[in-house]
Amino acid sequence: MKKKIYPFIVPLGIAFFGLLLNILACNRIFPKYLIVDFPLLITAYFAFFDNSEVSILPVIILATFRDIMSGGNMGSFFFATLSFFFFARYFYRKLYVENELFLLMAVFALMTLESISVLVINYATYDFVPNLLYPLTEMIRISINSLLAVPIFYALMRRTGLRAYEI
Amino acid sequence: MRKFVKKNLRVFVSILLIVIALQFSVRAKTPFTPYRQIMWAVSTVTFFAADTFTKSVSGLSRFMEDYFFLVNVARENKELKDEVGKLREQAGRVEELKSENERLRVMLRQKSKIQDEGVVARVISYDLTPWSSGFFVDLGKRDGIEPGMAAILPEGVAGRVYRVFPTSSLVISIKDHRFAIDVRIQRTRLRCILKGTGTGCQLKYVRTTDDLKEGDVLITTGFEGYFPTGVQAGIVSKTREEKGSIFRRVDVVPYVDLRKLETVYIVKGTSSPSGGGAVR
Repeated sequence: MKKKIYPFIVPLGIAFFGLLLNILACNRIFPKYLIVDFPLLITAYFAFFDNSEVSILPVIILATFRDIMSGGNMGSFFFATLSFFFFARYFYRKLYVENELFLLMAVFALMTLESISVLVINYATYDFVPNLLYPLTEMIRISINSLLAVPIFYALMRRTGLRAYEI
Repeated sequence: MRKFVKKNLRVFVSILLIVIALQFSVRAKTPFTPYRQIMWAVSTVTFFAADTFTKSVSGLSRFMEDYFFLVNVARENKELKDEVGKLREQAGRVEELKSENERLRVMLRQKSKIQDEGVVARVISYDLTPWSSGFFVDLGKRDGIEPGMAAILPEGVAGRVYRVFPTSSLVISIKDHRFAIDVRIQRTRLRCILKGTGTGCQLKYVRTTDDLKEGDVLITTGFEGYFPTGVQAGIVSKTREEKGSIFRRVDVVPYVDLRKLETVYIVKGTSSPSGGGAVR
């Protein structure tokens, strides 16, 4: 039983405590572009390394976390996170290469895709035009998240015993 | 065809989810009640944990600060006592003016309009995504908070309640790109729309012929039904004409410094000219 629950509880715990750390950092006026999106990284981890169909359950919890803590309309980030999960799983299966650089690039590409999508939605719905520093801050945010993703994934893999897909 | 769909099922599911997410992102309200209830339960646990964690860390850091800066306490105490004395004197004068104002209103047979009800809410967290500017407060549905209610400070407009959970609420700040209110230029009485841009604020639909200059103060009109009348919203910082446009581009600096927010006043019901309470 413990072996079955462990691979889900540990990543969920990391996501939850990461979220608490983010809240604390934000209260201390930490720049938003230095904040690590733990729920999204753990979603990517489940997409990449957990082959079971049950992995959708922790992802639903992670999507709810993201939906609560985002300023968007109710449900928008929930479905966006689920969509991120399915995209990540699909492309990882198609293009899987077992090295750190590929993991880093996969997370980077997926987060960039999400960032651009939100920007397009905000522009189309609210006429939001970002300032000149916006692309730079987004690049910093996505780079930090991608760089942290690799050690987090490997540490979790070792801890929970989950392996990447075998093609 | 069937084989193709089966092979790429995940992509189709992803696209379907994106369409649903888009639908939710452009709609103000969602009728999907079960999800709302799950989210409310998770939000209650999350905010309780976040609040406890933040309070513990803050308490520890405050203890350290108190310990190290005890030397300055006596001097600061004296200064604060002097300040309290001055403020009491000022408060007495304000009370005098208020009663005089009331008397004059009665004389003019006008009903007093100072009826704005509200509650003080504590800021517990900030919006974590880089795409919006908002903060969470410790009051929610159970405290009578509704979406659309105004969040103000003595300095001016802070934001508007956007989403409500049982024990907390999300307030979008005056700088958020979804924020817009009806304002008036105090000097010329000209009405226009103040809109957040994501990083600041802009006045919309100000014609090139309108009388407006840098340093003009903007106050709320209350016509949209959320905000009380006469609350300061911001100050015109920059104005310039754009080629081929009949409108001017006007940048505004809000009075409220969002980095220093600790508490906000949520206006529950307002006596604004539109006559409505806070409605969405």
